[in-house]
Amino acid sequence: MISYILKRIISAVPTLLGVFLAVFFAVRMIPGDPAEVMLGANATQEQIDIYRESHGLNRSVGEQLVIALKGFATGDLGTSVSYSRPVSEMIGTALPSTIELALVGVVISSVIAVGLGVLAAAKRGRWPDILINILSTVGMSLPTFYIGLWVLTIFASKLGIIPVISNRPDIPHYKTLIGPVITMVLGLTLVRTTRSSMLEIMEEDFIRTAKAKGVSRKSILFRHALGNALIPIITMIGYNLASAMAGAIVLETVFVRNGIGKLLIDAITVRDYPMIQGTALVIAALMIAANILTDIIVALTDPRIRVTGES
Amino acid sequence: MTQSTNTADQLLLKAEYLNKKFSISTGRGFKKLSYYAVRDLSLEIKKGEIFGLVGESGCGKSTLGSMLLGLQKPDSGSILFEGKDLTNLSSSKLKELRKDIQTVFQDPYDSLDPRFTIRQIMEEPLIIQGIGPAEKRTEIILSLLDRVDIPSDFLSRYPHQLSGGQRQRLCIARALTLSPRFLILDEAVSALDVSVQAQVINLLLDLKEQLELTYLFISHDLSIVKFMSDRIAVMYFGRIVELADKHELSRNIRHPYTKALFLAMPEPDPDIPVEVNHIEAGVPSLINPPGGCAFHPRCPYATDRCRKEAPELREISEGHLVACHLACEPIS
Repeated sequence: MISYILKRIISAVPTLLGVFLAVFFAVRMIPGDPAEVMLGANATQEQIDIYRESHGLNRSVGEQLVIALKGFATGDLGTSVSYSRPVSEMIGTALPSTIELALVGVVISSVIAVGLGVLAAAKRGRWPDILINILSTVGMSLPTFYIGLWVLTIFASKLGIIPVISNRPDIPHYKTLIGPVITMVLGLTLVRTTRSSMLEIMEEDFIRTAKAKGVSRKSILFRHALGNALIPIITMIGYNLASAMAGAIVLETVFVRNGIGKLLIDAITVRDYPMIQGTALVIAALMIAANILTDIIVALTDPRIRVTGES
Repeated sequence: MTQSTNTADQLLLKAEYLNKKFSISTGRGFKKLSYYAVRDLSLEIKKGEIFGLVGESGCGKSTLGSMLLGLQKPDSGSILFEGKDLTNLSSSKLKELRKDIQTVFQDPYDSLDPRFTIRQIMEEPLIIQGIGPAEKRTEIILSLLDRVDIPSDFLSRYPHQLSGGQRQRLCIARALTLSPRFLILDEAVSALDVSVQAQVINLLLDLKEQLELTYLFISHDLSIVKFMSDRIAVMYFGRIVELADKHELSRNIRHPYTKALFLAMPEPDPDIPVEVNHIEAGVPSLINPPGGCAFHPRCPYATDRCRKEAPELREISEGHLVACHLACEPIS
């Protein structure tokens, strides 16, 4: 098991390098010069030249690549062009709030979605099932930013429960989580996976055995069926967790909440190359970490995988 | 009530006029079609016997088994187990019934929860019935595992770590945890390979003697049913078409379908000439059942009467019941 985890972590390095290179070239293909964006339309050529030189932008792309790769190898993400502070420090401040949002959002939305999925499977073909199916189809079809805007309209403008702009210091921290979490819950991504996985398991022979044993309906649903349906569900939760890291870009922008996603978007706006590279790399690393974690949890929950791994 | 001296003839279970209908969606709109899986079926199982039930797949054997287990309710008819009607029991009474009637299913790979250890699998029914304390449960489990020849250090293992034969022996041990008196063995050895099959059959026969059990042995394999059972019922299209003591049935087959099943049995002695099976393959549609006797489209002896009128199951000699208009004389 441990060698398997190590193998996964080592194999993540080339993936990260690939992401790093792709981002490196992609940002340089965006039209617009960082110096011009930063200094504004009234900057003189002299000012622009000084700026370019001080940030290493006057070097050739090849030279810049070598510097960037050196940084990648040593873990130095460079200095932000727009904030003039180390990228790693900026990310370090923003990251906890993004991870917090992703974890809280994924946990709450998963519990609710799995509950609804089990209910739908238990009431298959009857009205709760049909209703849950309609809701989850709608939730899954709507883009996150659209749901987010509706959450803002209803909970912030109409009801005034949550702030419209979350990154003000006077707002209690928990309130900044409510809006994005509600948006994640309304996506209802897990409902269908849970339902179909449950229905598949309910057809299995061991469920019939459990009935013959006299196991209560509740225990059949939660102990026997859900326990076995968990593998695809956990895989899906892991996928949701990974995409929540990237999804933070949308949620943090809609709710104006500080975090790594907002850092990335702001960096793209001002062409802050080192910052874009750094945040994109960290988001990719988080997604890979979430995937590895999922595989480990799946392996641990399934006795068939767990035991073979030990021996 | 006086205790009967002849325990062999005491009735354990009596089912009368059972009907079970299923509906299936046609895939076109909301229209549904229905068919009978079990139709007007009556049978009696005596204490201590092995009652064999044979028939091809789809004939309703397993539906019958699950109704006798109380897993499915018949649409009409009654099932009396020691005089108590199983068809309208409350859930608490049904829980009581689990102690008396247990089952072993066909597939030892699918019928055990892969996430439960062997201890959990064995212990669950005991906990449900409130049998305790834990030491007592462990004692029961270990003595049963010993009976089915599974080592006691397997307790914390998972089903996937067992071989097919071990799994099925575990299923049998599990069925016995509540010391039932009646076991429904639904294709219990069909999924096992032949050497393991023999081992499990012998185990079942030993356990029956040791624990004074009664079996309903359901199978599509007539040779095993014939080996195991005291009496055999042949089922076709949701009905029993012939029922007799196994010796009587081997000597004196009266229903053409039974005859065909016997002919389909592989004969180990190559010197015995093989008779060619004379019925056509293909079970008629359950949705559009043939009129009259359900077997007439495949029967080489079918007459006009067979096409129009369904035969009743009647007794032609003591304990030998046949549902065939032409059953007056044995089939050559």
